[in-house]
Parts: sequence; C-alpha cells; structure tokens
Amino acid sequence: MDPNKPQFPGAPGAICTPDEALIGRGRSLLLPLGNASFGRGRGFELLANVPGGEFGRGLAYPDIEPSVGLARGLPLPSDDGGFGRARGLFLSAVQPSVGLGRGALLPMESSVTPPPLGQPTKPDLPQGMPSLQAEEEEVAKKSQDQVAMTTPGSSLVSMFRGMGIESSRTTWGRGIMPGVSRGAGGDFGVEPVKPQVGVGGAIGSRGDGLPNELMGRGGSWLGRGLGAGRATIPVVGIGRGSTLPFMLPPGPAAIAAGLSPPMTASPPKEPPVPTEASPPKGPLQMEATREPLLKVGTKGNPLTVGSNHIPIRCKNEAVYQYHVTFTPNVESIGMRFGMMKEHRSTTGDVIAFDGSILYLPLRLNEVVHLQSERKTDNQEIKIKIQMTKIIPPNSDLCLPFYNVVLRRVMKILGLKLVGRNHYDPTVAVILGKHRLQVWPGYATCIKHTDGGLYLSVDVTHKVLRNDSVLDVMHAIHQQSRESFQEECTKELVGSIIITRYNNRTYRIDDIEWSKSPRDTFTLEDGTQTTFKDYYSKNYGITIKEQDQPLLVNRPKERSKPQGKVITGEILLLPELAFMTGIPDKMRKDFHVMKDLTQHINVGGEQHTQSLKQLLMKMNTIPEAQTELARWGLEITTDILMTQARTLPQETICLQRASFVPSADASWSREVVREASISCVPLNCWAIFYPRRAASQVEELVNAFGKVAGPIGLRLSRPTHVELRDDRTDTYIKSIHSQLTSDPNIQLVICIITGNKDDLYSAIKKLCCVQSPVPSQAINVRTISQPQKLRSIAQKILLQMNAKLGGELWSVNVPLKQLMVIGVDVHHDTSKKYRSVMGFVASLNSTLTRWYSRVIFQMPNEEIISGFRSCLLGALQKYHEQNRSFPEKIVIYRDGVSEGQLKTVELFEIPQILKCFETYQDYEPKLVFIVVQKRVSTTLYSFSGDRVGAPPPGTVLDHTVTNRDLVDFYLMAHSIRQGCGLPTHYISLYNTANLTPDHLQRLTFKMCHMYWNWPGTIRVPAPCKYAHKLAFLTGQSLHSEPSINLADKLYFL
Amino acid sequence: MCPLFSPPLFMQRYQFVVDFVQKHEPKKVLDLGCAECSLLRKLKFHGNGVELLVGLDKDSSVMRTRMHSFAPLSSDYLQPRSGPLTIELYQGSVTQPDPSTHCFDLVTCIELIEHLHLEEVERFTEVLFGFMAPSNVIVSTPNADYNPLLPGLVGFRHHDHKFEWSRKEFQLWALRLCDLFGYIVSFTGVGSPADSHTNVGFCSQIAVFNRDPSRQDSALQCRSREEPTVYRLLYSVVYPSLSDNNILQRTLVNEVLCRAELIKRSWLSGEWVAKTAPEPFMQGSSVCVSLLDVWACPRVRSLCGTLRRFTEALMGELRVELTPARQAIIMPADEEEEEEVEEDEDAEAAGTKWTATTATEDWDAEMPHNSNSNLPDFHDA
Repeated sequence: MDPNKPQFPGAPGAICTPDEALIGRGRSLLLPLGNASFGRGRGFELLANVPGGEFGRGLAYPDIEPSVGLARGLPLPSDDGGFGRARGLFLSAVQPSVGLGRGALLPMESSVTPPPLGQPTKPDLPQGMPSLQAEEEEVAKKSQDQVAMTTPGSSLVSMFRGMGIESSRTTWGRGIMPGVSRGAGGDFGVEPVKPQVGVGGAIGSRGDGLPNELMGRGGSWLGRGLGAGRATIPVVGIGRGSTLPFMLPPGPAAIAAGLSPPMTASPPKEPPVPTEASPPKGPLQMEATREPLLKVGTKGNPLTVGSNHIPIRCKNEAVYQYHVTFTPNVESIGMRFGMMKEHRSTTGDVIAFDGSILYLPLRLNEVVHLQSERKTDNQEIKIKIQMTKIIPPNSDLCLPFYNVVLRRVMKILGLKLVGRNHYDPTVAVILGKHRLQVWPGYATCIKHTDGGLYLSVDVTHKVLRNDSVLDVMHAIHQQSRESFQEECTKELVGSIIITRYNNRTYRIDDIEWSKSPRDTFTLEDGTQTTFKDYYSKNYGITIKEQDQPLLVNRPKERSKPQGKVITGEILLLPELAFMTGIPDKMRKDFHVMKDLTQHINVGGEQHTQSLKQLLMKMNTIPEAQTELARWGLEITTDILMTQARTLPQETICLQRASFVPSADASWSREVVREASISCVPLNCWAIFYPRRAASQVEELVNAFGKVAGPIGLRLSRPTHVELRDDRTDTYIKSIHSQLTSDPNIQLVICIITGNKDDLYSAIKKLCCVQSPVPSQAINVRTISQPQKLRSIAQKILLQMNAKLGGELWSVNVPLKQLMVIGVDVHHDTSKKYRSVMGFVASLNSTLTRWYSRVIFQMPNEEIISGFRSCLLGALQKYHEQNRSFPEKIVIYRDGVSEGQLKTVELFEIPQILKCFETYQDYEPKLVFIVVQKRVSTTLYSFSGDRVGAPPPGTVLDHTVTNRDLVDFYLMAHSIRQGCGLPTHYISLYNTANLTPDHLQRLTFKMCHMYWNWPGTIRVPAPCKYAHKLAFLTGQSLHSEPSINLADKLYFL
Repeated sequence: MCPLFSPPLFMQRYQFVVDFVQKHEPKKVLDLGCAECSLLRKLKFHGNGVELLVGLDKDSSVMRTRMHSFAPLSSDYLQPRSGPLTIELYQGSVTQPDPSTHCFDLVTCIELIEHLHLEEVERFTEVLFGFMAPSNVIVSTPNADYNPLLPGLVGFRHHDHKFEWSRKEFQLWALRLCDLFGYIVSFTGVGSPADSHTNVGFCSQIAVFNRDPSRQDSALQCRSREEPTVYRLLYSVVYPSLSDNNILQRTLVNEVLCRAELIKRSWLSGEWVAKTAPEPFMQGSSVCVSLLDVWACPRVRSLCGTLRRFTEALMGELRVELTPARQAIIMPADEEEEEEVEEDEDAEAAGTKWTATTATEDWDAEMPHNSNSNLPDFHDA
C-alpha cells in the first residue's frame, strides 16, 4: 500500500491538515521496517475503554452493562478521570488466545458508522468513535508518562494479538501529540470502503441478538464474528498498510481460535509473555509497540561515534501493574504503604507502589484479596489487588522506579547526592588556596530512547566550598562594613547552598536581616519552636552564633504526591549551610578559573574512563548487583557505539571569495584578508577615552586604518574625545553632548580602564535606549599589547561593521523566501529584574540582515507570550524590504526545558500561527525547532586508541533520540578543550515539510553565521544573536532598546 | 489510639537513652533489636562522644530500609568531625553470642525482651550480661501494671508480644541477673499516668544496669572486640574525621594555604597591617609568608594545638613549600594573565581550499509533496 496515499478517501480535505501530513510520513516508515508491530493504538483503545469495567470482559455479560457501547461510551470517557490512562492498556494488550476473528472488529466499527465520514472538519474520525476524539483531547493534555491503570476492557485489548500486533520495542499509546494520535485514528478511517462488506458479515454472524447500536461494546463481540473475521482480514490489512502481509500467516489458525476462544493463536513472533491458553475472558497481555517517527537523515559521511549511553538489559519477562483498592477507603498514603508492607509474603519484597498503583516483577492472580487492620481504629480493611496491565520491562511506566533503583545503587557505591547528581568526595580535588573542593561525580538516569533502554551517564563536577554561608558573611563584613547588607545580598542571593544537617540544596532567594536563630517558627504539628531549639533537638547541633540573619528560600509552588501544596518560605541558618558553586567574584578571577577548569573540563578520554569506572563498580559490587537484579536490570559494561554522520562541509561566501573552511571549521584568517560581503563606510564616528589611554587610542586608530582596507571598509578619522577622568558620569556627559552636537555620528567607541560593569551598563543604556547609536566598548588592556594590536583591531573592525549593518559572510541556504528566527531568554539570577526574551529574525534571502526585538516577562517565566508583537514587527520589516512576506518561517527557540516542551507546543506555536491571520490569505509554512544546549548526551569519536571529540558537523539522529519527538543531536562547533557536547534540536512543528536532512543541514548552516566568531558555534546564529540581545538587555539595559536600532546587530 | 503521651512514648524512650548517652558519654554503643535504626539515627546526631554505633536485628530487610541514610553527608566531608565515628549494622540473633559484641560501654534493649519467648529471655540474659558484659545496659519493656489504663486494650499491647511483665516480675528478673553477673540496677521508666495518684508506675518500665565495680571479672576485662563469627555484617561506614591523620593533614594544609594566600594578597595590595607577626617578604618572584602569621589563624590553631606540632605537620608536606629555615611559606606571586597562543599571522592561508563549490542545491524542489503554491501546477492536457 502506498504509504503516502491519502488516508481519507471519504474526506479529501483531510490531507491538507498538518497532522495528516505528519502521519503520512510516519507510516511510510513501516514499509521498510516491515515488522508490523505498530499499535495503532488510538482507535483501539477506544474500544478497550468503552466497555467499561468488568463488563467489557466478554460475552457473558453483554447485557448487564447499560452504558456500554460506543455511542454511549462518550460520557464514559468524560467522567472517568483515569480515562487517559486506559489508553496505555490497550496498547499493551496482546492476547495469544484471541483469534483473528476478533481483529475484524475494527472494520466492523467503521461499517457501523457508514462512510460519509464524520464532519468534514474532523475527517479522521469515523463517526462510530466520537469518544475517540474526546479521549485524544484528554490525552493531549496529559503528560506522556501517565500511569496506565485500566480495569476496563482488558480483554478487548487482547484482540489485537490476533491481528499480529506484537509487542516489541516501542509503545504508541501514551500521550503523544494530538497530531499523531489523530492520525492514528485516521488509520481506521481509511478502511471504510472495503470493510463494509466484511463487517456486514461480521455483524450478521454475531447472531446473538446484540443490536447494532452496541457496536462500541467491544468486549462483548469479541471472538464472535468469526466468519466475519475471515472476511475482514484483508480489510484490516488495507488499513494497516504494509504490515498486514506479515501478519497474515497466522490468520487461518486465528480464525479457528476465534471460534473456540480458549485455543491459542500465537502470532509469528511471540512477545515474552507466557502464552498458555487463556480463558475467553482473556487475561492481560503485554503492551504492543509503536512505530518510530521519521527523523533519520542520510546526508554526509558515516562516522562511528560513542555516546555516554549504556544499554540496559531487562531480564524480567514483564512487569505487572496492579490497581489496589482499600475498602473502606484508607486516606493516608503512609498507612496504605504500611498495609502493603504487611503483605510482603504475597507481593514479594520488590514493589513499586504509589498508593494505588502497584508494580511488581511478579505475576499474581488476576485479582487478589487481602486484609489488613487499620491501627488507628482496628478497622478491618479489605485490600483488592487487581492486575491491570502487563507491561514490557522496558516500558516508560517502569522508568520512575528503575530510577529509584538507580539512585539506590549510586548510594551503595558510596556516592553522595548533591542536588540531583551523585558525587564522590573521596576523590575530591581540593583547591586549598581558594577553599574550594571539586567533587567529581555523575548525573545518571535511566531513559528509554529510540534505541531502547539506556543508562545515561554524564560526568559532572560539583564545586563546593569549605565555607559556611556565615563564614562568607564574616569575610564580607571584614571587607565592607558600611555596605555589609548590600554586599551580602549581592554576593549571596542566587547562590545554591547545601545544608549541613540533611544534605538538601536550596537557592538563596533573600536574606531576612530582622530574624535570628532565636526567632520561632511553626512545626507541622502546630507547635512553636525557635530555630536554635529545633536544630539542637533534632540534629544535636548547637548554634554558635546567635546574631546571624536567616536565609530565605522560596520554593516554587508545587504539590506533593499526597496533594499537599507547598508554599511559603523556608528559612535557613547561614551557619548550617555551605556554599556551592563558583561565586561570581571567583568567576572573574582568572587564576581560580584556570585552576578549576583544569579539573572540570575533562576530555573524551577522561570522560570515558570515569564512565567505565562507574560501570565497573556497578558490575562488581554485589550489593549493587542485587539491587539492580530486583527489577531484573542488567547494565552492560560498554558504552554505546553507533553510526553518526558528518554533514557536508559548507562553503563560506565573502564578497568575492568563497571557500570551504579548514577542518576545525574556522575562517579567522580569510575573513580579515578578503572583503566582507558589504561594509558600511564609517565617515563619522567618535572615540572617547580617559587621558591616560591616549597613546593606546592613537595606536588603535592607526591600526584600524591599516587593516580596514583588506576587509573592504572605508574609514575616516574619528573624532577624539579625551575625558578628564574615568568616572561614569564623565563618559555619559561627554558622549551625550557629542551625540547632540553631531547627530550624524554613526558609531561611538569607548575605551574603558579596568573591569567596570557600571560604566559599561551606563554607556550601553545611553547608546541603546536614550540616544540610539551603535557603540563599541573596548577595555584598554586589550589594546595595550602592540604585538597583538593588529589582530585585535581586525576583530574589532569586523564587529563594528556588523553593528553598523554591514554583512560579513554567509553560507548558501537553498530555500527561497525564507525567514529564520532565533529566540532566547535571559533570566536574572538575583530575580531582581524581569526576564528578557531576545527575538532576532532574518530579513533577506542571504540571511545577512537581521531584525531584533526584546520582550520583558515576569521573573523566571520561560514561555513567551509577547511573541506576537515581535513576529508582526519582523514580518512588516520583511515586507518593506522584499515586497512580499516570507513563505517559510523557521524558528529556532532556545531556552526551553524538557518539561516546557508541551507548553511551547500548546501555547507558543498556536500564538505564532494566529499571528499569520493578521494578514489576509497569508499562510506561511512554519518550522519550529527547540534548541537545547544543556543536554547530558555526549559524543566521542575514536581514532586508534584515543578518544576525542567528533568533528564539527557531526549529527546523530537515532538510537539516543527521543521516541516521542522528531529530534537530532548536532555538534556544529569545533571542540578544543573538553568533551563533545552536541546541541539537541527538536522539531516540534514542521509544515514546510523539511526532511530530516534539510532540518539538520539548515541548522548546521545557521551555525556558521555568527559574525562575532569566524567559525561554527554550538547553536544557530539567530539563537546566539537573540541570546546576546537578551543578555545585554537583562544585564545592562533593563529597558527596551530603541526601535531605531532594530535592524542592526548593535548588541554584538 | 489518641495521643496518650506527648511526645509519643517511643520518642520518650529514645530521649531517655539520648539523655543517658549525653550524661555518661559512652564511646561504644550497641542497640539490640534496632529494627529501622531510629534510635541509632538519633544517637548519630546527639551522641557527641560516641565513636562506635552498632545495631543488631534479626530481620535484615527492616534494617535495610533506611540503612543507607547512615552514609556521611556532603558536609561531613567539607568539615570533617573532630572525633571518629563508625556505624555498623549486623544481622543476627540476640540469643547467640558473637565476639563482635565485646567491650561495649552501653547496650540498649528498647522494647525487645517482650518479643522473646521466656526461654529465649533466659538465653538472651546469659548472652547479654554473661558474654557481652557491657559496662551499662538499658532495658525497657511494657509495664503490665499500666495496661488497665490503656483504653480499649485487650491482651497484650502488640500481637507479637510473648509476655508483658508487671513491675514486680521485671524487677525480679533484673535483680536475679544482677546477682548472677555482677551488676547494679536502678529502675525508672517513661510515660507516667495522667492521674499521678494512680500507683501503677510508668507505661514503659526501664532498668538501667551498671557493672558492679566491686565484682570486676578479670576474665571479662581482657576480652577485646573481634570480627563477627555468627552475625552478618550488613553495613559499615567510617565517617571522615580529624582523628584520621590523612584528613587532618589535608584539612590543615588547606587552611594554611588559604590563610597564606590571604596574607600574601593583602600584603601585595598594600593593605597588610603590621601586627606582632613578621611581615611577608619577597624572595625572587615569590612571596614568603611567615609561619607565625599563619599560626595566628584560630582555625589553624584549633587543628594543631601547639606551634610545634604545626611546624612539624608542615615539614615534609609536598603541597606547602617552606623556606630553608622553615620560617615561612613560599607562595608564588601571581603570574601575569596568560593569553591564548597567538595565531600565526604570517602564514599564508595554507590549508584552506579557496574553491567555490559549483553544485547548487534547491531544497524547495527536493521537498516531498510540497504544496507550494508558487510552483505551477501541471495539468494533463
């Protein structure tokens, strides 16, 4: 079957919807794979759910349950909170004993709901399944790692086994994006034409008098429509595209099985579930798999790379999920835990329990009844443990408790938890001079990627200080008595501290000067106690200093599993808290940083070594082994080796010359020898400097004159303004008066002595906000070394040209009428200022002219809501310059965490789409790519025995990628020191139909275009520009830069 | 059960032990029937002088539940404790003797004996007082006399209790064993009745035994703690402490270097105020900071105690460079900021291929099913 064939003959319009497009591609993958194992989940599970509760279980009860039936099923989903969960269930079901005949029921469905499919707006929904829609919407809202707990309709699920749906690596079911799910639903819609026939037969053959409107009943007809079964098989095949052929072989047998349910009809590849003949009610079966998304490209040269992923083998056959009910109800989760604990003899020692859902590596009977006594009132509590699901041991549902096991293992290995990672203090590097300790450690997590179950290990370092916060305060006090509180706030707020007594980490949000350890607070039980007494009583700690202020932590509002909402402030004692991380002051200290980076920036060689050490320990310490074995986990001893690709090299174009950069993807030489694409003649500019920098300035200006020629920049002599001192005020006043007296000034250069943040901010504020003019600040130290002056002058000149609106270089992007947008967000660590979103959009076909805006948002609000005005501004500007709007818009969105992806998808993208409606008949194609710099995935390349970083342009788009997303890892920059850390790109939205190759290569191309660096960088240039802009605004300006500068890269 | 006691009775029992430990400062404490190790955990925080904390229980799975929480915290590494601390957990039966239980200063049996059958109590008594023979023992057990005051109580307080003794029975047992093994006992308890007139005693009765110094058994005295032969070691952790010479040395060196660095910087920047200690001086490109200057730091003092031990500790220490006369520490002066290696400006653009690629791409054309409205549609004639 042609995978790209429109799916809805009945509703041709459907193809145009973006979702549809997605699906079309998704399916085409199946062909090559050919293993048929996709759980077309969406549609099915509907069936599974509808029957509701025990009733779905089979023929026996068909008439008992009034609310069964698809049509009626609708209310069910809506009132059942757990409905979304049921979805997983269906997936899991693979029932050996169910015959093919059952499989037929799908087509039956569509026949029931005769072809003129649904409303044209929802072409993908066969009418028979209105509830499907409802459910999908629900799913969209839910996070994907929802727990699946379904009692209902389990047997239904099993029917798919007959159809040859196998459980293997992946599962489709859980909260995939609505687009996908809808598409899945759409698959059913495909069939209507043929199925009609077969289904008709099926219905007839039912013969048990079930009225047609009971279609949805699912369970009840299972196994009934045998005759139909045969008739329908081909139909089913049509629906599923290529899979069918593979599945068919068991067909006939299955049909027979359908007739006599207890028989086994096993599909060719049996999932590792016990396949003994099962009763007609059908016990639960293992989850089926789902198809991977289309994300693999082909361009470039193959390259073997290693990654910090270690394959995990699951030795358990399956993990069993149970639903536990307590009657009468037991409110307290703790008490529920206690009661479950009493029944270890039944459940075994290995359990994962959250209060109602229980996971065991053990198969209990389908329903187990137990009893406990409630200690508080001696009430007999009946505990019912009902199996709801059999999940493959590598299912996402297992990840939470596998990760608990992992944390325990790390503890067993003697590693210390600081924040979220584990560190080894016994091999700490101690920098006595700075009272710092660097603890090497690991950030570990078990994840399920496209390649299966992996232990992801990142080598990290924690910088801890031997000083308590109180020590730091003392030191500050000695240095600046007058402005003590102010200095403390500056230095401490935003730091992460670790408490001495319970090892927790907190962020200092504020300092409460009016409080002391003698103040009281209220304990959970309502009693009042002083901090002093509290620590002495609970931890045996005597507070030495009674007059210290208290540190304030304001945790984000969140609710605990028990539903308790945590709000308010946490007060901490400076004496009992250690500082972590590198303090800002030290960060500026070249010596400390040199000492530190030496230890922190480990290369691939060291990285793999420490990784191997960890694996060794895990595999040799018996207790760690035992812990892992509890859930049947086995961590292999070797890191993942896989095939990546190095993308084709790009050609850099200057005005006349074009060239392929050298292997390290850098072109610093070429760019100063050849003319830039375009240069803005610098006729009128001024240079401000304090008197003592006069000679350096003279030298600099001379150097400018010498190097400007080759670059192609015409340069007049600047106006020299010598300042009588280097006070901020002096600078500002002179610049201001100069700008007023000569409004033609194109550029302001300020020579600054020393590290003066305030002066820098003041100059930028003046030149970006009040009197808009491109400005360049230069530290006098950088121009004080004559032997370097030439190359410094070249760099500055290029930067100045870019700030003025010149174009330095470009690479060819073979997409017409394209706009590339970069977005990043800057958060103020002290939370004093609002966060700033930087927005940069390209304005021309060569992507060398940029339009930029900023938007302020509430502190730490990552998701952008002010997108609209920026985008409209950019479109307007684009139109002015090109007389048309862009056909394709590619947005690179930086600064989104994993947890915010959904929000971006649900809020940001719709907001953007809505923007386009502003213009009549304007429907550009949109590609939305999330850029994640901070990822734990590391790539190694190997040459002989040596482990190094892969070359620039290395892309990995499989195995370690996310199963639910179209994503890839690209390492665009050249690594000089440290490890190969690629950037993660997620294509959330792609109506431009850019193929994986295009996405990857476009991204790589964009990484060449950052004009402040003659080489490739980690992120696409527009992201970096947006970052620079947001940083400047958030750090120095604190207000919106003038719109007059919006079409220049003044923020470079 | 409504809270009859506040704080809860078990807390009161633990507090009783904590108070005892704080008063008598035993160095080695063994908790029999430690279960989830709550008492040990309390003692870890509050037992200031305790150097060895051992727990024993026959149920290893209960002990395992929170066992790893005994691991040292990050802060224990950042500021090592001054005294040593080792925590060990064993799985084994209290009725079996094991050489690892010798020589304890305090053995606690909190709500333990009532879980043993009476004949086991016999054997346990023998093992505890005859074999382990610690200096002090604290035994707590329910007081049956109190039971009538417990609302709604039928039978024993816990289903696993094999017996619950009255005060008289408890005292009888205690006095008999004192006589037998040479101990002196005093009786007390926690949880007094709300109505103090009722003469039923404490809810939990406690006996505190001290070995009778007048009846020192010399055979017992010479026994030392040995490796376990019967019990199984589940968990063992040694806390980093300054009693470990390596840790002491490391901590000292850090303090010294940090202090010396501070002095050097303040001297270099001209902020150094002449005190009694000698002023730093230059030697070549290095700054020499007097040991006496460093010694003035209270932290350094507290680590070494005497100046002599301080200088001794720094001799032969590779991380600290001393002047030949061992009067001062040599600190390298700050080197100038290093710059990255300068690019070779003269080299012609060798290695760069000045080629323009001829192959032109058009991704728009490559796109599958591109319904790009710009492209002309093809019509069948």
